[in-house]
Amino acid sequence: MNIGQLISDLFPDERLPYEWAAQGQLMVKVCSDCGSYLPPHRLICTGCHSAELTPTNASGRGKIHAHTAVRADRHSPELTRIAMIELEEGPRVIGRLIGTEAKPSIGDAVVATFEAVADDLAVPVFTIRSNETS
Amino acid sequence: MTKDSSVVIAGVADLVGKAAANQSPDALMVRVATRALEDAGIDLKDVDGVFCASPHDNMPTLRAASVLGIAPRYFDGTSIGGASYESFVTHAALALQAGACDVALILYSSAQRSARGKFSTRSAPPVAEAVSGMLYPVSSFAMMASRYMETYGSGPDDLAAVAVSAREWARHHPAATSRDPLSIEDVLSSRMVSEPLRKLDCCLVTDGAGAVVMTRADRAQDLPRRPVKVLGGAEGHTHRFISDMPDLLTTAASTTVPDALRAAKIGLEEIDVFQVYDAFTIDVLLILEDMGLCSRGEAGAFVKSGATSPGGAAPLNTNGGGLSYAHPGMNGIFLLIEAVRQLRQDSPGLVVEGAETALVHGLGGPLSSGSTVVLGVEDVS
Ligand SMILES: [Zn+2]
Repeated sequence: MNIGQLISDLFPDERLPYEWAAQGQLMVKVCSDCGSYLPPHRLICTGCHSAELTPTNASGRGKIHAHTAVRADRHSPELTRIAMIELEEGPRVIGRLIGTEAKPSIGDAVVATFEAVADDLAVPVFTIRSNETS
Repeated sequence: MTKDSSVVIAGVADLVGKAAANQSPDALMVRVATRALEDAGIDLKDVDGVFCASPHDNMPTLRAASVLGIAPRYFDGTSIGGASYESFVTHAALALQAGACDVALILYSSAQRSARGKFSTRSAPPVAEAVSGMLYPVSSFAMMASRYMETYGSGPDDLAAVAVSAREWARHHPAATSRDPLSIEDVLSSRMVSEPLRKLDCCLVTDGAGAVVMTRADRAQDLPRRPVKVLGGAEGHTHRFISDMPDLLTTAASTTVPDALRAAKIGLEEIDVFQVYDAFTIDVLLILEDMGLCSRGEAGAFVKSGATSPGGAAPLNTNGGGLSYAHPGMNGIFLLIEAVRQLRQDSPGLVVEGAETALVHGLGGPLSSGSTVVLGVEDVS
């Protein structure tokens, strides 16, 4: 799978979070009516059903809510670790965990970083913040 | 749906494993429909309602009617994944009660195994899930399993116990795909697919077809088989993809099971046999807790105690389920067929003696939808 191509081929509204990521920003949305923070793909507020959502920059800090690992390819022992992250603003997002071989735990503190996949596109990934679990 | 005992399942049939291998989905559908109608003692020409979902055709009801050479006056192609089939029973009951049709034929056929690789899911997961490397759908269930285990301090053996319980039933079923003895250690030494789920935590990939015939009780009076009454049903959903799942440890069963029991006017403690969609072992643990058969975090111990195994107090997936009997893409119809056979006491595998009530719970997507049906052979009101 060519991730850069896959994201380039998306509709502009779906591509936006990856353009923000290329600027080093973790895009989420905030509801203009009730103030709830939402994952970047949401179009209606899950708190109040408002459609008035504005993209905004999240801190990138969060903690692991759930996780899994798959083999990077069928013939390799190398694992891709993937986590659902609860951001400190509240929304949950899914991304790869990088820089860790060890199995993480729920509650481990993480921070977003960004991997370029095309000239103007990047994918948010997460690293564990050491000595900082909640 | 409110309770109305006047709607019944009059006939069922399935073809799985070798009996279904290397045949087109259309050919399988014709064979299984013919058998179910024969079981029901009803002619194909009298079928005027068709209920069908399919991984092969996005107009499944038209395909089915065309293949069978009939011109129904009522169609339902509800597509909520594997739970579609439990919903078809509820929807068919409403249609029969309303007089929108007189004989409902619910159909499924898939050549998933024989055609392996030739077609895949048409449902692309959200970009963030796809680019993360998650495998669809197993990694979604793996995320739930990780949260379940760390929240309640459960071990991989709690998941494995579900596969072992299923196999204990399948060992006695002549048509089950996997019949060899299975231990918790066997499950724990099978290949890791998406941590913590291993190969034997995952359902089979098989060929298979199933059919269910429903009609009103007045018509069923002179039919060959003991009619199985539809006592109640309910459906619900919480999300499409796991990115939007409100709570990774609570599924739609938490509302559909109590709703269906209320419609049936019976209590959970009155259910004699359970058929629960087991796409992955974690599903059964979550759903047992959602329906209230055990407290939160206790389902692993409940299964390990033998409660769901042959001879247990809550016989579950009595043909071996999707883990050991068959899983041809959507398993919902096979849950219904096994429930009917238990209530008619004519399952080719182990029979739960004297079973008069059954609860069937289907799920669709990564525990996205849930649909529950309560069936019975006695008037329990
Ligand atoms: Zn809002």
